[in-house]
Amino acid sequence: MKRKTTVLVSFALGALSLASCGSKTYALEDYCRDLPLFQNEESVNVMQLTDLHCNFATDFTRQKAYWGSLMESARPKLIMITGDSVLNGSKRTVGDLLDTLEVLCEEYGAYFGFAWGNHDKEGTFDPAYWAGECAKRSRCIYNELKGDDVYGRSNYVLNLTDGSKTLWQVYALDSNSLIAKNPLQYQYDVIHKDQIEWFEQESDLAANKDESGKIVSYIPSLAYFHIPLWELEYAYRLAGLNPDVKEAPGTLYGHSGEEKESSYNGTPLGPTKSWVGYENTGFFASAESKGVRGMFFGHDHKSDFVAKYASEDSTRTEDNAIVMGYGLKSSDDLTYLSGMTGALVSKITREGNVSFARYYQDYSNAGYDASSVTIEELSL
Amino acid sequence: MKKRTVGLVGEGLLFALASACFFLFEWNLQQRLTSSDMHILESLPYLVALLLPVYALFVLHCLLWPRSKKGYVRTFLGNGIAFIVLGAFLVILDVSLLLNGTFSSLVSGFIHPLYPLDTMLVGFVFEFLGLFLVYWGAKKAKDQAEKLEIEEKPLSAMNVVCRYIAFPLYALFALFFTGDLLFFFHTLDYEFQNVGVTLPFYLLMLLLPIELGLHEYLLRKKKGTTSFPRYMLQGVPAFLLAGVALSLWGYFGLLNNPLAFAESMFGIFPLDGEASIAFGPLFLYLLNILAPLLYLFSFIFAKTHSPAPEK
Repeated sequence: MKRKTTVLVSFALGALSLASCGSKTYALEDYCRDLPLFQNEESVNVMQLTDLHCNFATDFTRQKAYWGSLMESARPKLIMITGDSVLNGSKRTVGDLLDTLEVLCEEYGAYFGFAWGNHDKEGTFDPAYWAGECAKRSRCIYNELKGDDVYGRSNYVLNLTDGSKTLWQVYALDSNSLIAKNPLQYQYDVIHKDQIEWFEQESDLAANKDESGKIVSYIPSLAYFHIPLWELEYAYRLAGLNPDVKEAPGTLYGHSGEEKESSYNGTPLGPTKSWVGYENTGFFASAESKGVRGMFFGHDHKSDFVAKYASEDSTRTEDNAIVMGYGLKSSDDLTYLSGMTGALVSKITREGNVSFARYYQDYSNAGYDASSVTIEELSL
Repeated sequence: MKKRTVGLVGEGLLFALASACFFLFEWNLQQRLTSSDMHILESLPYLVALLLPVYALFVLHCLLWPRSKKGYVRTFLGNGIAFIVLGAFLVILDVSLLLNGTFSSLVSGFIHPLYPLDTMLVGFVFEFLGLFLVYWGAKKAKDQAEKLEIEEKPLSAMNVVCRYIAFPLYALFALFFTGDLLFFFHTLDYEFQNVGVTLPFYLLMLLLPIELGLHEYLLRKKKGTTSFPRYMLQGVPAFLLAGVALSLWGYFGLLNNPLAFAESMFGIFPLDGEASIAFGPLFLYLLNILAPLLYLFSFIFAKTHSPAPEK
């Protein structure tokens, strides 16, 4: 009897060890949402907020005034938040944040979406909670497909249309959070290869094709995620800003801003000021082969470095190289530098042109309005 | 029901409450420490109020397991006064913060809708409890102490370490992880992506209060003799084996699935994501292996124990 019980228990434990929910393959179209932002507009401003780190003590009235001043100044039609929206948040924190953004977006006729950061799961809510709450808000365009087989959560596409035709695409990608280096230590994760495959399929699906179905051109796009790529460090080295290493693969066509984070030594790159993922899975090269014109992330709170860069084997030139870099930290919670908070705005046009600007707004007891926002156009 | 049984049941219930409070305390303290504007003043009544049930548990424990007759009376009086002081501190703190405008109203809702009114009520409750303890200590405790059967023996060095350092530390960690477990409905990965990896950690958390219960209700010395019963010979090694087995299961589960933490365990171990170190699993392994080991050693090396009589 004892032996039988032991065998049964062992079998049950073994089965549990292998247990995991099955994943579901969705149609590529299910990840997409059309937003007719170009219907009556020649250009659209996409504003990136990042690393809000909201928690139970966040004063959302104050934050609403702060973000509102940035929106008043930039008049965005779309806000993309690149991760770490909460840190040690509760369900109430998530609700308050979504409500604040919903009210602001109602006021300015805008929409908002999220990419997940490495801290967004830290809190007293299960990871699926966000999706359910976002679905309750009409201005939130976050799209998470339950149990899908693309790794991560915030993988979705926004097709910005003129009412009928897609003129631009905006990709949100989950750069994930942590992966165990060993069972006692974690390191920053990356955009997984199956996510890159999914991104390529989505780009191909939306691309302009000839009658035979052959791709003629890709729809220009922007990509938003949380953890920076290795290519950012390459660009930083090529800009001569890394005092120890000046050489790196690829070509740098221009840069702006600085990296003021403390040193990170968690990857084979050696000491860097970019807190990058543990390996290079090739998303940048993939983005170059498609229509991406700009990619922006957060994660490092004291950096605003932006570079126009092409990888070693790229066919991109100075005219169409990808502009990538950090957004500005958009809250004063957790570490930040005065003079380095605000938002990064990408202005995209019907003709497929794009320009970038930083909107700086410092935290102050005097309150916030659009007149105190400092705008810096990036000549990249 | 006997008074003592009521006390022991009350201790169990208070343990559950205190564990939830202690988990929230750690979680909120961590929140404050990682925030640039720590809002320490606004949070202080909340943090103090969360610690009071833990203190109350300690007092109840001391009353249920007195070390000496004098100590029994002193426990009432000393802790009664401490309760009154702490309760008054909480009320005065709330009123001060209300008067200086830190709180806009009694239900300013900084942390939750009834904050800080709820902490003020906790303050009043503790003042009342303090008054009761002082009254009981002055009027009745002395007579009760006379009826107690306590054999006051000198403790071995090992027993002193176990009793005054190791056990309180273990109890604090057990409180935290029990609270963590009680909040599972908030933090569980409802997509059940990594059941095989998360389950051993939930079970390791569950073992801690069970082991404490075993210690408190079955293994403690009774009526002056240290019993060395079959619970000791069978129970503690069984817990040790369970701790080792579950720790190995959890360790190799994480080794085999390095993404399991990120997918399903952020909420369970609030510190780990921020520190990028597996503090939660590490403490669970250590507590579940070291505690039974220490318990065995404390009995083996204790000079005071005598074999339990055969039944």
